[in-house]
Amino acid sequence: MKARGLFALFVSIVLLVLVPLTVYPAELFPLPRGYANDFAGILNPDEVKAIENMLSELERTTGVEFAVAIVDSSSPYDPKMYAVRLFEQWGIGKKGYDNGLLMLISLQERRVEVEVGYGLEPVLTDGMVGEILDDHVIPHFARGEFAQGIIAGLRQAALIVAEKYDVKLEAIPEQRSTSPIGVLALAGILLVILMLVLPRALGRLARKCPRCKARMVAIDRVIVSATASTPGLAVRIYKCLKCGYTIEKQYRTSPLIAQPGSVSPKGLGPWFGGGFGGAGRPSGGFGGGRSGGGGAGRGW
Amino acid sequence: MRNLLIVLGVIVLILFVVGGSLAGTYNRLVGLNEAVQAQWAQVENQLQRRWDLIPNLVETVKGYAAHEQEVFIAIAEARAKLAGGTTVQEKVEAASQLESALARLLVIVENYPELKADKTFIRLQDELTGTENRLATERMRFNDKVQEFNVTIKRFPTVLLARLLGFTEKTYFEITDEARQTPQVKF
Repeated sequence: MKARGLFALFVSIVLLVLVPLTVYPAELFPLPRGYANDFAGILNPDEVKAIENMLSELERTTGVEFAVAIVDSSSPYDPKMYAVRLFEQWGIGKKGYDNGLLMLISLQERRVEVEVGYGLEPVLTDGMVGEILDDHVIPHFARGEFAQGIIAGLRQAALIVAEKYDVKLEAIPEQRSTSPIGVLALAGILLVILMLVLPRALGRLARKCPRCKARMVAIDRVIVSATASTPGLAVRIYKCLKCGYTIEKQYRTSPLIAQPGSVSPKGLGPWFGGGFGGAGRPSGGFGGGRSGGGGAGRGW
Repeated sequence: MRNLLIVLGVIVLILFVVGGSLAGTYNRLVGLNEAVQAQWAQVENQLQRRWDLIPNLVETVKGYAAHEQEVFIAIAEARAKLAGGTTVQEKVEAASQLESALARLLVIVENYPELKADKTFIRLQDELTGTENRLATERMRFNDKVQEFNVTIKRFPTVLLARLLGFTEKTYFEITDEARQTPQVKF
């Protein structure tokens, strides 16, 4: 009798402790491919490259992150709400600075929506964004010249930002594609390789056999492969060549694609992303900026 | 004797666990409550922003449509009400009243082509639309936070504790049907 009461009490306590967390269904937006994200396939590679070059220069010089997304349709949202959510998901702009901008082009709805991050709101007011759209974007869009409209509009916005930060932008897309960006990209790639290889190499050499103090060799073996979104499991086996003593250490491998909303790869500071411009950025490479519905939109 | 010790031990253990989970639940609710309040502050910022924008907009419209007195009065009234509101409920009501008055203003604007082409007006219009969008965004986030809070306090077993700890359900920022029909002025 007593035991039963105790048991009931125990069960309710366990229930209290293990309160399930509220889980909201994750909304599915495409992952970012870079600064220019043509999900509808209306830009040619040169046009994408021109946008990438311009926007990577902007980020390199000012830290400001601009992004373009072209979608067939914004449904189930209206284009503005889609832009707000996509911005939220991608986290455009640097964390804490919220200096991002998203230009969303929704083809079926024939709308262009510019979503401005909190930090850029004083620089690019809604009125200014509206004027840019009227003067530089819509005239092109009305003639079906999407690339020109996007480039002209972003360029105008970038110039305003650059003026605010007191930097000079080349901002002429085709130029500068080889020398400085190429060198930077190369340096960036080398650094990443170094960062990936160095700890591993050190890890292999550092261990000595606890029994006979001889060097051990390490072998990595994958237990569960990482998928695009889930981490994998691997084991590193250290083996002493002299006495055969082995040590096993399990470790997680990272997902192949960074999760949306996650900050840039560990170890690379938020300001580092710029170096990768031009060469195409890793997915989810924005800095975690936020926006709150600022900006303007137009139909064409 | 031995049995007594075991029972005592179990009771102490239970008290420990109960105390821990109580504290945990309480802290979580406090966190959620704060999040709701912080988000409400964001909503209020945008309400204030809209409130600040309106005189400029009204003045510009008056330049072209001075005789549309009725709507100007409605806007002024709603604006005063918003300024006087103290509780969340009052402010929500005043805000939706203001919203519908603004909606009527925007309908009137449609009848004045020169006004619609006025650069100052276009800018103000963008600022106002931007504010409405911001408001919609912050309102959505506010309601998300309220939902999270309400779901948490209504869920078993937290529901047994929430009332005891003084946490009650919060109201959403709903928009009235009238305001929902705000015609979006598209250029």
